[in-house]
Amino acid sequence: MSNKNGEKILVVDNLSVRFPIGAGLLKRAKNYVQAVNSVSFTIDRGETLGLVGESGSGKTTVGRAIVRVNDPHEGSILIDGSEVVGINSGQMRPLRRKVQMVFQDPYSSLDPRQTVRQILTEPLKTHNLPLKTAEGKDRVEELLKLVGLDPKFATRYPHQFSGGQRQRIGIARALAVEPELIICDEPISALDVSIQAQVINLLESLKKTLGIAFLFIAHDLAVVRHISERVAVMYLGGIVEIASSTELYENPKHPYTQALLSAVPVPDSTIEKNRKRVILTGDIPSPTNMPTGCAFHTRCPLRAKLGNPEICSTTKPDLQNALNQGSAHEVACHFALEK
Amino acid sequence: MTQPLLQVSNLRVEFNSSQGHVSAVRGLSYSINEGDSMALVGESGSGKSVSALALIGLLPKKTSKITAGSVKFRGKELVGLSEKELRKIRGGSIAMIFQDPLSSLNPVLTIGQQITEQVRAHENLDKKQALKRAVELLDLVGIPSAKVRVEQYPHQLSGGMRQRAMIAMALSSKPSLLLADEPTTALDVTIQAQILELLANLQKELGMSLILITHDLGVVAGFTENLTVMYAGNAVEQGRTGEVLANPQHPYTTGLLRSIPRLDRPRADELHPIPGVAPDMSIIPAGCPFAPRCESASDKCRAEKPALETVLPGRHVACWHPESTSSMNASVTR
Repeated sequence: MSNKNGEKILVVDNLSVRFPIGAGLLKRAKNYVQAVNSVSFTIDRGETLGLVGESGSGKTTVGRAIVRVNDPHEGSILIDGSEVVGINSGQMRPLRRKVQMVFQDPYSSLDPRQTVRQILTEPLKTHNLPLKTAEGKDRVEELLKLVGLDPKFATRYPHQFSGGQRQRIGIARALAVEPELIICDEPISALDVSIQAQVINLLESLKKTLGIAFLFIAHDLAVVRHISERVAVMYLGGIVEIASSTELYENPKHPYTQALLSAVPVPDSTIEKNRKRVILTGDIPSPTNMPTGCAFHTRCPLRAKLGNPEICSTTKPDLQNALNQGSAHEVACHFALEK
Repeated sequence: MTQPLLQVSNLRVEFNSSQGHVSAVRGLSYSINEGDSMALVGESGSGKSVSALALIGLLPKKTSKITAGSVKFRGKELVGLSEKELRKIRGGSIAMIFQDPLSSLNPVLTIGQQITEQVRAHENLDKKQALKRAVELLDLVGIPSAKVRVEQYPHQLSGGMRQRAMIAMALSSKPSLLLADEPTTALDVTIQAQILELLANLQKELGMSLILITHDLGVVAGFTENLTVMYAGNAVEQGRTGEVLANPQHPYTTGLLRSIPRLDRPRADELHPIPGVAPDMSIIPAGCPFAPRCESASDKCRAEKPALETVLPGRHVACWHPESTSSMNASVTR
């Protein structure tokens, strides 16, 4: 069955995830938090897709739904051509070998009572993989070398490492089962600036040498541009724009993407002082009480400029191709493509 | 020359723990004038927050102390003041806001109660007047329907609103100096833009001085006039923000700027991380604290600690081989 899907390692189609709230005595849900709303995207083999958005946009939930940490409510997720939604955990196990996850917090995502060797051997045992390489070398030591750590560290415990080193251990654990896709959920945001670049360079070199695809979830737009071939922007559970990295950053179409990019401060005083920012008013609405129509219409500067057209608050815009020659560029906005 | 609003000289702060002495601030000096803004930039453990807490006596007394140095506010020495005298200044002429507004606000008091408490601690107002003042302050920081919000509890406000409420509280005593410790780090980028704009406008309108503590070099670029870069408890570079960012002189500043991907430049093929890790602050190495991670470190760097020297007009750098001289040397040898 597998490998029939050709280029795509991941196909997410119309994915929705919701969480019940107000489960009372009878555990009956009174209402739902609509965390992810009809999200569709694909990732090619060896490709990096960046997923950006602010807190509450649903980007983390998308990542977790792919490995079934959160159960999707609707939609389909194909990993290497096999459907993930609706299967049981036994059926899920072989697919977990293909997709691994790296988490944000390198402090809480490693078991403090396990040595590095135990941490790295566990996934090998789970998937009945050999502890030696074909050449008879120790897999744990090979993995540590791969992520730039001294093989002697195998006997140490997580607390003996710095944040950046721990994140390398987390990456080594993900690499242990030789996955085809790694989902990185804010992998560097807990690290200091001077250490972030070390981890980004490591991920890039792994991508080059091992041909792994990445879903890179982050809120830092500069980092996402650096590491991704394509970028999807999420707002309140939905993708509002998706395009190649170059195209999205040079030619953003959606008013939310434009505002997001203009809000990122850059370390150049001349630029900063002469810059016209699009400052959004208000906060992200609550996902328990989603706005009707376009999710962004309550804060949209473009809608305000156009004199609040009715369609924005009544009809949800679909992603449509912005028809830029060459690369695909899709935008979910009624008016972004006019002018 | 007029007297600076705040003059910090050779400040040293030590912590005592079961693991021994940690020397967190190691001879920090800077000054800030009336109405000016300065950024204190550094990574975790660089001493930027500790140095700010030390100014207003907010360090835990049992485990830490200022071991040397002086902090002069309008010419008055703050180091060694009694708690009672410090309390008048803290939340009075010097106010501070913190990174995480949720944990710095009291969850069981309304926003109004917390602001009025602050207002009445420093001004002789009755409850009604103080509440009116609280509403005005919430208006000032751009909280819509302030009359409703003043009755609400912190959990009913979003992160951005809470930070605005914190700012309102800090402004209640009309401070001359606001210390903002990573005020936008916990916020989303679109909300960060709102808060930074608010702080900049308030600073101008109220003629307040601002010390912005942050790790984000982008945030400092547009919002501060001066910049102090800290590493391992020391100031390693000081100057005008725009000039330092455009033409850094300390290898650490250069390294930081080279290690971040930038949206204002074409995508770089590769980032240039600073090798190694930040130093263990319980050990005081001989020589320059950055030497183990520095590409241009020499034997002198490992033996002798450099002091801040003026290398360009208005620029002070603690380095034996600042970038301008090393590039000059390089061009000579070429």
